Amino acid sequence: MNPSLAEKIIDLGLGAGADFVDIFEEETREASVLFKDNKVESAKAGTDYGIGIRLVYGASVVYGFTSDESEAALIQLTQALAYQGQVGNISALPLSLTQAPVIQSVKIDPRTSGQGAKLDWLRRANTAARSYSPLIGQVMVSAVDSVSQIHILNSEGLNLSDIRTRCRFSVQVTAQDQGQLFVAREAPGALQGHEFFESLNIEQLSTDAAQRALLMLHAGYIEGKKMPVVMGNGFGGVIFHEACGHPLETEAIRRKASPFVGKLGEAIAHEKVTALDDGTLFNVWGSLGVDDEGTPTQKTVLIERGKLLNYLSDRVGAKELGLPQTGSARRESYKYAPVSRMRNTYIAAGTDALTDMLASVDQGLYAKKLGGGSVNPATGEFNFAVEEGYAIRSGKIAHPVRGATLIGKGHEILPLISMVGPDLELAAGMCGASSGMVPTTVGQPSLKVDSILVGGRA
Amino acid sequence: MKLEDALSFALDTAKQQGAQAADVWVGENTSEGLEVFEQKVKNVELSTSRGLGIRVFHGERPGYAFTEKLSIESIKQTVSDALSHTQLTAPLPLELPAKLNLEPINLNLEHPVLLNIDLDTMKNHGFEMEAQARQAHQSVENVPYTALGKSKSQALFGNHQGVFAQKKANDFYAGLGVVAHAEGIKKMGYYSNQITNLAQFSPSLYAHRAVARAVEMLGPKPVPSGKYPIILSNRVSPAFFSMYSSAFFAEAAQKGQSRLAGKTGQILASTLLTLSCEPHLPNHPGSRLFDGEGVATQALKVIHEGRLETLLYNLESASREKRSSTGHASRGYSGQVGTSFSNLVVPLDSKNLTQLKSSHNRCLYITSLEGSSGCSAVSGELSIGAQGFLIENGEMVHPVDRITLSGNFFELIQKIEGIGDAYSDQMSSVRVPDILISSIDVAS
Repeated sequence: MNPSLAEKIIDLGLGAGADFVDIFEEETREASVLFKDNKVESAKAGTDYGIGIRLVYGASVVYGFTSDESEAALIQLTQALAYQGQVGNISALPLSLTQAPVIQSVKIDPRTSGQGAKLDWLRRANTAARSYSPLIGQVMVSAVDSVSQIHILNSEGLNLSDIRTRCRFSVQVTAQDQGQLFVAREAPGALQGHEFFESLNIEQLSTDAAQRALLMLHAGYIEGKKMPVVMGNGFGGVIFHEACGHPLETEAIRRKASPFVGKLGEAIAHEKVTALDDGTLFNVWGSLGVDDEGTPTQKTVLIERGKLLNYLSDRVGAKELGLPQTGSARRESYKYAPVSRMRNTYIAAGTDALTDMLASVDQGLYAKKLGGGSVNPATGEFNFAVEEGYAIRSGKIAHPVRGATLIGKGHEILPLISMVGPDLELAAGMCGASSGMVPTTVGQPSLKVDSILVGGRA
Repeated sequence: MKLEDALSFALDTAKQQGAQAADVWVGENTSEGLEVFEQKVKNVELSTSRGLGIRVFHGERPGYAFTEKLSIESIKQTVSDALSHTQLTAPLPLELPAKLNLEPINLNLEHPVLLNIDLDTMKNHGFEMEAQARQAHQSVENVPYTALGKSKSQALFGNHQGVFAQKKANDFYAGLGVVAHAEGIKKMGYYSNQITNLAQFSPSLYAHRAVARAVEMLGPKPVPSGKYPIILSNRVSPAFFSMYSSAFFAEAAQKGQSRLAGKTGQILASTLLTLSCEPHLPNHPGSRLFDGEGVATQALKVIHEGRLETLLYNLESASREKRSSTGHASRGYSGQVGTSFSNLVVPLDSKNLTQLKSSHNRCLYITSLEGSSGCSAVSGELSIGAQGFLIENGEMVHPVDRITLSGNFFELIQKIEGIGDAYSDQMSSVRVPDILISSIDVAS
């Protein structure tokens, strides 16, 4: 968008009494190839394009978007957004273009290497997974890339552009035997170009998924009850993300819809728990040079040795609650107003060995890999599926178990994390909330929760 | 460029660039809505989005692409992208429809009077809903979510054979979430619905329903783990069937992603269960006269008295079995052709809720399901958090929370021993009454 049109829009918004106006222009090129049933099932590419305009009145947000880039359409939209404003006379500041801080290096731009470059990676994954066992009934492999060009302008003189290139590889394997089916998946991603696909050990990823699908296909069911749970590293961090991360976003705090309202400075977790949300990790899936308001991202300590230090804030949340901005404003696309969201969220490494955690449990569950889950931020109630689980018997990993679900309240579980391992690992995921689906990383080392309700068979 | 012009231009361009067949889906959505919190407007949103998606065939190979820029240059690039993808995909021999005869049915999806609702009216209704909720019960602690909005959508379909169709719809919705608090326990209650008749919209009614759903769950007590009969209330039974709906798609069965492969004609559920797709129900959001490939929709019994009668087909999955589509292609401009129910319907039976509750000395009445990540339409696995009530001798004893239900969908539908006589008042494309299941594993 040319700066003179942006100034017109900003002047119009400020003239209608807004305290702050910003413009978010996005053009995202995404491309995917899906390999399924031993052949290329689909190849797809597309362009998302649109402009979002936001007027902020105190703690109230008026937001609109359109994919029509004409001056008439944008002026009309701004006038409609200003419906509830009062006449003001603040002038927009001069605008000069800057670039977002560099948070990634792209060696192979997906826009130039093309869709055909993905075929070899897809075929290799398919072959590796199917070779693992004749009981592998279906393999779905996809390689997805996106390049987002972002332009943010605001009434404080920001005129900033950013390019975000992401790639994700997914292998989903279905094992089947005597009418029974089980699905396992691996899906790493990075803030990188196609060099990310080249860097993957595709055969290992695929056989890992195949091995898990086969193992769990023949697993028995766990008996449901309260028990100690040792959680595996990596994607196990989804439980902290959902049950604790979301309630620490100012979007929940400002609605008083979080068990952590008013708890800054208080002990909310076991002293072994330190948790962070870091948007600055180079080339990592959930990282950003600037957030979707143009604020540089940062490494935010949420919990330090059990004590709550910070919430994750966007502009409006920070202003309303009198807190600093943490560069956490995010949105799926121009179709959403930004709100505070997580980036790369993880529990920091500790010193307890996995063998010691297991040895401390007589009867329990080793949840080596979690599936997805959900949480009600207002009450803290969560629910997570265990994709790969094992019964713990007399301090040792025993037989695999399927069908286990973890259920509880995030703020009640935090004090029960009594052991934390050194094996921190991150895992890519997609997080859904009021500003849409955004790429986030979850992570944790292996850890032990002293007691949690595990759903299973009676 | 206007939507109709964009559609025609894309088809013409596809032909010029060498596509042997093509179809195009163009969509436009506009919406206005707001959120209220503590008697202030928290967020207002106005939106317009539109886009065009094309599927082309070259040498029987399909290729897809889409764009939200409806300019000549961008559409040309999109068609070119789609054609380039035909170099990668496997052949899929199918013939796009040469004609489309739409039934003369008014689905009643357009409500012009709702388009006139302005933001001030929404704001006033929102303020009233929130205020009523806060006053409705002493245990109400917070009303964090109150939202109202209207939306309007238009979709156009066309293919290289000259088939053209369009659909329009608009709606208005309102809803709120309430937190009730007593003795250290917090519970949330939601109520939201689509409104087609503004005269029947009562902010007070919405507020009291949300409050009732939060307050009724206060004072929960545990129940022992074990096997229980359960009644899935008509508030959650639609979600139960939705989670497993893809098991009924032919494509899933063809690709080893459904346990229903090869089961057509077999009894696989209780004979009480009939499950249909009803595309022509007036006022229902899933209703449609044509599907995403320009095939006329039709009512279809998928399960009839326990017997699997058919799976759902689009042109692509039908082509693999050399049969006809059942008119169940799903499509948006940015996606490829998939499969979906129009409206998934389990017909009403004769038992009312009181009779269902009295069917066993002891059962659980489930009013909330939490998270679906432990549920797989592929394996049928079900492991899910739930809340509800312990029922003894037909009477409610106390609320129950922090339980999980565990089983398998394909086994649970064999255990259906009662179907209710009423749907939830929630406007939805999935209509399922209360369902009584004889036994399920419950962990507490």
